Amino acid sequence: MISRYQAAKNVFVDSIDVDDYIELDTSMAAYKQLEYSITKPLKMILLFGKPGTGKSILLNRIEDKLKHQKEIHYFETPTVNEKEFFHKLFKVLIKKDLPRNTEVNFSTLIDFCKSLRGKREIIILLDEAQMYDAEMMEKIRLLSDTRSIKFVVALHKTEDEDLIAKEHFQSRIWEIIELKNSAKDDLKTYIHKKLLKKNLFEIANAIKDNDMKFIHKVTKGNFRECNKLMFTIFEISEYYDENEPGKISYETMPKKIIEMAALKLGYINV
Amino acid sequence: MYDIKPLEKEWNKYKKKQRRPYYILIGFVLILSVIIFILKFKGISLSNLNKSDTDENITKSSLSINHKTKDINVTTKPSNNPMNPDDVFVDEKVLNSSISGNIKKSKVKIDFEINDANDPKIYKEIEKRFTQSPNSDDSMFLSRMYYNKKNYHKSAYWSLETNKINGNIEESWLIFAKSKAKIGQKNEAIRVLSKYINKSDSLEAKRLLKTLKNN
Repeated sequence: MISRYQAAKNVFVDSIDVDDYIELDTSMAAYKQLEYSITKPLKMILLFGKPGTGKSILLNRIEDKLKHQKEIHYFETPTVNEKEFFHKLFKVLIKKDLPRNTEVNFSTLIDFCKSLRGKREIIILLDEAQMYDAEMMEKIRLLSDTRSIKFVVALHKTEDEDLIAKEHFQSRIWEIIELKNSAKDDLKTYIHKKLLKKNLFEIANAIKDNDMKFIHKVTKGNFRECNKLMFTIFEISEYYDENEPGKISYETMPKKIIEMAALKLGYINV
Repeated sequence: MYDIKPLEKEWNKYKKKQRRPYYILIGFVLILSVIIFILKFKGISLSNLNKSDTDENITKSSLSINHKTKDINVTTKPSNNPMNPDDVFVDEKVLNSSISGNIKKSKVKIDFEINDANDPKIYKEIEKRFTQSPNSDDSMFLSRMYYNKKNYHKSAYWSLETNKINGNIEESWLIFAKSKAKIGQKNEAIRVLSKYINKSDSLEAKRLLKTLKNN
């Protein structure tokens, strides 16, 4: 017999699949702001926040929603190799693959982009942009100056934020959108909606306000941490459901299981 | 999950650690309650002890008063008319300093007259005591009291008894003479008084003699 908790566990596998996108008040606000900014004549939009605040899934979402209206492309994995990056970019520009051994001349690329000005507006969503080095970022800046390519740069919020502090980069960022960890109510909605999407009503109802208070406290409202914790909670519940059903309750989520999951992930210590 | 049992053990440790402050708080409250209870109990014991001490002091002081008969110095105020009841002042001394000085030196006025006059039993007792152990104070007291009560026969008798024990008590001679005169034995009174005057040359006796002779 397959435990009901197995399905619940799989709901919280960490992914940026657009189908897993949950509409929350805060995420919808960020989406609308990003969508509006894209329509403005801006060169670069900075989307930043701590890991697990939903940057990647937001970019995915906006690409999915606007792909039929605009030329929008999502560069998920940062290409540290400059050659590969330009190949990728060129493919977007000319809409066909370049031969493998072809070297892209940067000046030629700039000129080509300038020629597209007024004719096409290409939006490139750069995820994990903190992995691009300074030289790469400088070239990205120059490409944005052609005004035929608009970049949405998503990166982790750094402690010193030296990337944003650089004068030449700062002058080109016309919009900054920050994503923060969610509030308790938003996190509760996130968990409930994810479970309800898979028709797991009873399990959703078994998570009470006190449980949510603890979950929010240990995960600090971070979606990624929340996914990890919920996955672990349902993993433990699945074990008890299959081996020691006396220790599990379908009506309420035992606090013990939540605390055990938090202990396992190191959110709390003995 | 293969590591559920170690995780359960870890959770048990976590819960114990989490509950520790509550256990400490409960323990502290219990200890505080016990201390307060003990202090209150001691306070009650002390107050009881103080009360019993006071009672003991009162008992001791009353006992000391009861046993004061031997230690009391009874002094009579010298008076021109010994027939009048004298106020007897008793000096009480501190008998036992260990009773924390609860008993203070004081003059206590004891009104023997009022009590004795109304109770003939006391005369009987003193008479009985005299027969067992003749004492000029007792016989003198009786003589005086009987004279005041106008029982001149008895007052004369007891004056005579006093003179037999101690012939130097002037008052006894004077009461004897007056008593004799009162019962109509004036000559006898004069004779006895003259005899005393020869012996003592008392001014008071001389005055009384003169009074008896003139009246």
